[in-house]
Amino acid sequence: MAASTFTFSGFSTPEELDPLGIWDLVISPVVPYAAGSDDRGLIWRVDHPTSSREAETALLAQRAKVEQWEYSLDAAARRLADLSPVTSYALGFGAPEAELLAQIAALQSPVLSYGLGEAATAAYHEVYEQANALLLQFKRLIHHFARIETATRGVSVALTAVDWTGDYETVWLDGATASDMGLHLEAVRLALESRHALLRLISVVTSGALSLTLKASVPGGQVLLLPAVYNYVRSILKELERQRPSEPVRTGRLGTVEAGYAWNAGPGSGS
Amino acid sequence: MSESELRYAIEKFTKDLANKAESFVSDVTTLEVRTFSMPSTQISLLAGGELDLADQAMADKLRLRAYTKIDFDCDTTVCLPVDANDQIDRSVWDMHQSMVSQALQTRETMLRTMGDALASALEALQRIAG
Repeated sequence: MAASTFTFSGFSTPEELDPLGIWDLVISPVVPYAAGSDDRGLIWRVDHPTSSREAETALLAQRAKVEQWEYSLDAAARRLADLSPVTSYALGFGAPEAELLAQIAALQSPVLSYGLGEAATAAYHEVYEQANALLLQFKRLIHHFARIETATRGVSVALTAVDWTGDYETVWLDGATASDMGLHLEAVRLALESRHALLRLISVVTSGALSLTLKASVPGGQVLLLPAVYNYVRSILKELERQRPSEPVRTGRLGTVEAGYAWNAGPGSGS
Repeated sequence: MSESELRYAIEKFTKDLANKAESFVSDVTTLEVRTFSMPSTQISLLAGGELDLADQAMADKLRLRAYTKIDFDCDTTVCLPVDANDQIDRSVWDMHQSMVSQALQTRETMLRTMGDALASALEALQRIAG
């Protein structure tokens, strides 16, 4: 049987992959990663092959993944905080640390810092553009409403729009069942937990870049180090994911909506 | 590319964040949750992110089924339709309650997230000023 699909549009990353490994990013062909004029909202869409137990299990498994990912992010933040560009080389850090420190060393270079030479200027410019692109994507997460759609076999059954301050508006298709409602409520939770996790990633990357800037004295460092720190954190997360044994998937009833009834179309329904 | 441009980029980012946090604080005095339904003949409106709830023409195609407003001092207003027998539609009520509960959790998380973000932005601004 086909699996549930999880898509996320209106957001992108340099590698065009969801850092959480849950959502398939829908990248618009006309809106490249760095473009800042894109005014689409953030849309999370979950499409289930059936409104069933398997769909529930798929959602719970994804939420468990977000929870585990946040633990890994804490670990990455601790490694980042312990990193010192001054004492680093003697301490035998791992590959992600070595790569980050090499990039810091490059940015500390007077050739890059003072823009001598065309190649150096181009490299400096490229890093700057990468950093700006990351900042733009980060801003999208806090400037746009979250829209969460639930569908079954491609047919939308519910949509919830959540604004930045947390006001909710939900639209149900007449005839939605208790199972549909439980699945949608869980999809809303998954999407909002995913957004929160991405905001935490931003926080770890920006504060890590700031901290390293101060330790390493890189001119304009907080911006310039963003791509390097972002890549570093992603490497640590991947490393921790490889080390983690696979865990059994949680099972259980979703949400708080009781089974046994279908959505009443209500007075004046045209359906 | 000069260092002043880089400094400007940091300043802009952190000030944006601080402004966002400020507007967040002024907007969090109430929490509103609305639950609508729509006939299946309008299903295409739900798909693909085209549905704009702020658009009056679009909103006219929806039926508001339940509304809750919670003020900062916890005064709560709930509006629910009843049927001909003055009975509340249980399916609407249960789903709406679930959404209110979820909205309260989201609000709490966002308050914490904004607090952290604001602290980071202020720290960065202080570093720049220093």
